[in-house]
Amino acid sequence: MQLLRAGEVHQALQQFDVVLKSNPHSAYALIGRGVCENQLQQYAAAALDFKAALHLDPASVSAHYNYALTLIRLHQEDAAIAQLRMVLNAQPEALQPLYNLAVLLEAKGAYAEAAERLRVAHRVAPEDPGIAVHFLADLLHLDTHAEVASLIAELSAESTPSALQRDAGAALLGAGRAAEANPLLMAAYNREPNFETALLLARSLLAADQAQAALTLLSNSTPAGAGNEEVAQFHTLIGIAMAATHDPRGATAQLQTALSLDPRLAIAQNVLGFCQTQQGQYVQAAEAYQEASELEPRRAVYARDAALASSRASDTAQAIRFAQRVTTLTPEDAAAHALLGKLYASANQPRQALPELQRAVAIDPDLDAAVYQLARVYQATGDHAQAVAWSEKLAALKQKHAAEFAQQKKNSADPVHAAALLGGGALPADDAGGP
Amino acid sequence: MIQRATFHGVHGRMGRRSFLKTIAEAAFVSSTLLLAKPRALLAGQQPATKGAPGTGPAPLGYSIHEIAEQAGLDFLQVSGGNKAKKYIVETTGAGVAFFDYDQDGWLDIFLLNSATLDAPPVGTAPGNKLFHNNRDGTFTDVTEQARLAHTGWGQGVCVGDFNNDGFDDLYVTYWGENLLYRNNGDGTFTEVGRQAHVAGSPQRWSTGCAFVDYDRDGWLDLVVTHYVDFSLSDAKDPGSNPYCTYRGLPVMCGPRGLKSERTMLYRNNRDGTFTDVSRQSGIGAKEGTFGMGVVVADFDNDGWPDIYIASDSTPSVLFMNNQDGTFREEGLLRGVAYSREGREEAGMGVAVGDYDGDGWLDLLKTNFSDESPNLFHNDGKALFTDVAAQAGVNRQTHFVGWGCGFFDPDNDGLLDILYCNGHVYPELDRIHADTAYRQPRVLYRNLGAGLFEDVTAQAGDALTSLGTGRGCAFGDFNNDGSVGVVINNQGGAPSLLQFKQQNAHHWISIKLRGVTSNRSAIGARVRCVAGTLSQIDEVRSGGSYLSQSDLRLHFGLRDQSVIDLLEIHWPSGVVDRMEHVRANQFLHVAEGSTRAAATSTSRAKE
Repeated sequence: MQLLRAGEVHQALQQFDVVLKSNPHSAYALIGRGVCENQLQQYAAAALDFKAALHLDPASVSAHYNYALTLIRLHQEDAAIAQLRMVLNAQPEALQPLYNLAVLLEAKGAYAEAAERLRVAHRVAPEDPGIAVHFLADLLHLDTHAEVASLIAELSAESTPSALQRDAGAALLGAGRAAEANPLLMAAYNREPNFETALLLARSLLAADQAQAALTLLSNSTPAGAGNEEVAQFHTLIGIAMAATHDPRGATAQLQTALSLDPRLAIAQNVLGFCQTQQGQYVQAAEAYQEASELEPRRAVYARDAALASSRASDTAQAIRFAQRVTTLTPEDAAAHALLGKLYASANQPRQALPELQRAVAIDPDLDAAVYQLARVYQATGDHAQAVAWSEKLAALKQKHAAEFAQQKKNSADPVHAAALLGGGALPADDAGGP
Repeated sequence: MIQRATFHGVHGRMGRRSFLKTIAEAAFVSSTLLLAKPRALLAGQQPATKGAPGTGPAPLGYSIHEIAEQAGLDFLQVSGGNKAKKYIVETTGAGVAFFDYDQDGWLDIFLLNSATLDAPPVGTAPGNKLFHNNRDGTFTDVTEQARLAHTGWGQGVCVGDFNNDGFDDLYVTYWGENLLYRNNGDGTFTEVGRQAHVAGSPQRWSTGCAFVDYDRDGWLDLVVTHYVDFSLSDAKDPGSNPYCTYRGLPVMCGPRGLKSERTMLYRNNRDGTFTDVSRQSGIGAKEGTFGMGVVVADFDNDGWPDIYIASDSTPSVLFMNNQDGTFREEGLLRGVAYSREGREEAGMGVAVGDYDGDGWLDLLKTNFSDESPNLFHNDGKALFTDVAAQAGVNRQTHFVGWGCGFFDPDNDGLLDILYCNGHVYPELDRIHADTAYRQPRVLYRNLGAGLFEDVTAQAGDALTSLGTGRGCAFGDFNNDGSVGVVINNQGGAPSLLQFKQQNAHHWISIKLRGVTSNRSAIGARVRCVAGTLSQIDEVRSGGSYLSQSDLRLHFGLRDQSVIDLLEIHWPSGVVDRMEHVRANQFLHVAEGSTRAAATSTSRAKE
């Protein structure tokens, strides 16, 4: 064991072989040889030795843990988890097993147990920011907020390495908490300015609707040495920032540059569509939105934007196609059915419109857009009684929604939101304004 | 600090750092910049234009000139503050009228003024002005001589000969008592609002108005819209509630959050007085509207006038005439109450015209920023579809639209669209936003086949210069065969736009005089057939935004020098028909004459 600790792995292995020849039932020697084999990447042999050791001494924590590490190398994660749990049954506060078990659990999506293990690890080693970042990420996955604030405070300390602050910021950003991510990312960027962190910080600023700050940051960043995809992302973020600061023309140029470098950037296509809409170029906008949805056909918000933009560009057939895509992706979305119903109605297809509109109000009886369309479609088909009935329902709904509108209005300082542009929900309906 | 997972000297392969980096990247990628297969951009579809492919848009066929100053329209519209608006009453501006008050065959101009919250020094209060047309491209202020001087929060104006004496009278709405100016026929007016019982209440806020012979008895009745129930004594300050913010700025409150109003209808008693028939006619029964522009037309071609009212932030309303002195409100059912999505829009101005020549009158309504104007196509029998998107008039969404009209500036027989704009919040100039307080006008050229193209930039400075337009009226003020436009800019000088023809298109202007019908012939419909062109229009009081346009009907005739058929349907039911009518004239027709009563056939002024 002294040879092993001294890094003389081959010699140590020989010594364990000697011991095991004379005493094949020495669990201690089997574990030692297994550790040597692990270091020499002889994982199959190591596994046999650890199993043999456990046969001789089922309570050996060392055998269980080293066997777990071997199983990880052999990609037998479930078995490794079982071994690590046994280790922790014996030593509940063992730091490394706690961490490694958490890693394996997270890979399987078992965030709750992972967070529990890391909570213990964090209590044992509160000074370790690596564990804190990890624990933070799990809590964000679980949407558990109780300990998040204190973890952020800990990680904001100057003693935290900038890379870990960046990781924590990224985790917060991924959880949609850009406002909390920004200080951490800003600290990381100030201490270690680099292109990768600049992109992350810019995106976080945009997500927090600080488009001007993002634009300033990106304007002072240079993508020298970065690959095409990263540079394309760089131009996309500048484009989003410009769009959000009411410069659709400048944004269009940036987004077109991004797409020339990476034509697969769906978000760039989507925001390009937004910018072209802002400039009244509805046909081009529809094409860009459609392209975004074709690039990411499973993203409902892109399909919705494509449907709305196509409708605005008078391309009802395409609008219907993309609206159908939205209803397929989100069959329980009342607004999606209402949109499809409206488009059918505008295409003089009341038979197709009615079931979609009826589905919409079945899902959400308060959806006045669908109720309105029902009144219109019934009127157009000559069913005056139904038209009047749905008109009366609409009048009642409008009354009900008046107060809600006030609150919405208060919350919408500007119809152009950087955060909305990032999410691809950029295209407002035709009638988003009004005092 | 632990950097790697280790135990007994064995390094864990799945280190904490790499794991966390994976999370970070996943978060970044999944929420924003997902990659997918490449695909070439599609070629952009170009909007249709009248020009040949590759040559850009066709020439307009006219040039537009701003001549207000040289024409002598010395007028400053005052409507509260110009840098901030404390209350909503400062934002709505006022209307303007083109009308021939002295019957000399030349359009005069009446500009309405508003007021300020603080009392101005004695003798300096802004007032309305009447400008007499000097027939030489200039105008003279004749307000005092005409006895039209008045101060107050003027809003709207409409014209009609309510007492059938042969001279057009003037009705002016106010935040306060309304005025009815009876035209004395000698260049002067007498205010008779109270004695005619149409002054309304000094506490109410009237906006749009229109004379209409709704019961077809030969006497003009009067419809008056009202905006909000507003009083300075209990008005809320900017920013004081959710209805008082815009783009994060504290701004004047309303109209949402304020008490809505109703429309009034006054029936003409044929003795110089009117009776309020709002309740019994059904007009006043409609609640919950912030009424603005009003327009009257026979939308279902039944021979009876219907009434459409643009409502701000509330459903716009369409009163269909029951032919028995009552109306039924059917805006929603007929598709003109809401946006295409079924939402209330901020309706301001309204215009009527058969832009596609199908024999049914269509509607144009201007709205707020982040909305686009509605182009309600009459699909027949007053069932409408908003075709703004299909027609291509939804391109501009940054402007707050006000006065508007269908007109034919190039006399090609196709109605184009012009509307003026200006935001209600001067405070917007303090922030960087996608919309601003001063805004350009917008001109759409009718391409035929139901399509329009935006030719604002092509039209030049007269349209692209920024302003705060509110009321605007259309009329051939210099009798040159080309329709011009006057705009009452809030807080500024007016605009007078002259359209100078650069083509040889023909036209006709028709002045109708009722005999059995009301003298102004309001409500009379003319069908003008020339070659393949078939057009309709009606003599109309009110319209646009709180304004009055030329009561003469103007038809562009393209290359047709002779009109095959003029058919006039008078409100009385009388129909006059004329064949082979010469183009390029100002034709006067009296009701019941079987041919044109050629009282004036002046050629176009060169």
